[in-house]
Amino acid sequence: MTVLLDDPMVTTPWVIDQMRRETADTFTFILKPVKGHGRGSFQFEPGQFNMLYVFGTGEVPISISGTQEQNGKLEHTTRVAGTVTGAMGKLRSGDVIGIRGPFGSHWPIENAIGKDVIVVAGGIGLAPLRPVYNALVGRRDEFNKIVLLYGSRTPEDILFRSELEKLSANLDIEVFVTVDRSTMGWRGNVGVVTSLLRNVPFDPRNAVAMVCGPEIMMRFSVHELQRRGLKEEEIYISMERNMKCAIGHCGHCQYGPEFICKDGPVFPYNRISNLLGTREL
Amino acid sequence: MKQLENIITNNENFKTLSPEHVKELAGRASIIDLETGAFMFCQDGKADHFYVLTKGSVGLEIHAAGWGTVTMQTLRSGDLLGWSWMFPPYRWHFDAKTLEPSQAIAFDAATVRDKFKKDSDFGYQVMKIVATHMMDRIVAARLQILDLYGKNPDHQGYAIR
Ligand SMILES: Cc1cc2nc3c(=O)[nH]c(=O)nc-3n(C[C@H](O)[C@H](O)[C@H](O)COP(=O)(O)OP(=O)(O)OC[C@H]3O[C@@H](n4cnc5c(N)ncnc54)[C@H](O)[C@@H]3O)c2cc1C
Ligand code: FES
Repeated sequence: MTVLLDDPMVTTPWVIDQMRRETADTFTFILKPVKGHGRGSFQFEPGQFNMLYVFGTGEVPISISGTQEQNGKLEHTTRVAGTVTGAMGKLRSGDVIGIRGPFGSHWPIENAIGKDVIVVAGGIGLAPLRPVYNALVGRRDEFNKIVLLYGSRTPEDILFRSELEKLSANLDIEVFVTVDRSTMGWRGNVGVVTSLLRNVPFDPRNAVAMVCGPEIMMRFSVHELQRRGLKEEEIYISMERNMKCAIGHCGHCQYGPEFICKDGPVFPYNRISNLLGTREL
Repeated sequence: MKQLENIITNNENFKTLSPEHVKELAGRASIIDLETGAFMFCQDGKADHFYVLTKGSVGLEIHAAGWGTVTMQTLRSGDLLGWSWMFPPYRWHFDAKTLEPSQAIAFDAATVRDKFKKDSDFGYQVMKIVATHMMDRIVAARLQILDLYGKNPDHQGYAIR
């Protein structure tokens, strides 16, 4: 049987070059293609995801949290949630996992040119937005204000902490981090990320927002952005549903008329506003 | 006075107030400057002012023996601070401590309440602002209690080995 390398159902082996522990339950894999299975540099758009296959356990969708263009490495940041992500957390440098992708829609960076950009992340939702803020800062002159708001559970759960500190020292982007619950020694903001939106500086007539996190957090963030006067079509959110095929065949991820794997995960809010918060579909 | 009116007019919380009502509020307000670590008010103290932060940040804290001090919320420039001034016995429930050099507008609660009695429209408009602020805080507190970024409580989480 001939297997086409570009067949979206065929997984490709990648070796874990490095596993970086981010917090108690979250880690980043820095992956490089196994020799002979590479296909040049890995092209993706911020917001897209790959299917990560832990051999013998199962496959899960994980967003791409970065690439290292100079050496073709790929980064995925994962929070342990259950069976497969739990097995991923037990892998180590040198172990091999399977990758299919990239799949899905992406954040609207081109639509943000010439506008204020508000990036709102909650918890692990920062990982899919990491390529966005890195791209925005990399192309700084093309955007007006850039604001990153990040809500975390506690100070110990803050992802990419030193990266955020560096960004925040950089005048190109305003970074506000808040925690739901403070612990000893935390001198930063306390409170939910949505409450930061109230006074954040942006012009709602010429702005775009990208929001990623738990569904409830996204819903309340959207309310707050609307209250500030931002139009529904300028608010983008990233949806999560269980997936199998990731290419729109199996119907596993269907959400009303949309397939999250193919039409999403990133949607303009006006396209799915009537579905968000619906209990059963 | 004009400076106070401008600050109030440009504050997101007060955008529904008419210029006349802004003037009434400004006439009952003053600007205060605060050093880092200053207590704007303390738990059980008399709630004789309410505030709008114009610079800096303030931690809303509670202190209890055995617990130490817990910060529940951080307020930043533009935020409204305080609602205990509206309800008898007019006592603060929490401490408010500045986290950096800060500035605020302090509104005199007693004279604002007096004005409510004489001008019910003014009272209604200000009450709506305070009620909105309370709603925001309740929603925020509920989201905090939900522990949105935590594990699903029905399922055992794993830690990385
Ligand atoms: C497009 C997309 C992008 C994503 N990107 C990322 C990312 O970048 N990083 C990341 O960490 N995650 C990401 N996710 C989420 C990730 O895919 C899931 O956490 C993962 O699929 C969980 O699989 P699992 O086998 O580890 O957990 P499962 O065992 O499937 O459990 C998943 C969750 O469901 C709960 N659960 C388990 N069994 C039940 C049950 N019977 N009833 C109710 N609840 C149950 C578990 O407690 C856990 O919270 C993304 C998801 C999508 C769709
Ligand atoms: S995962 Fe199969 S249709 Fe989306």
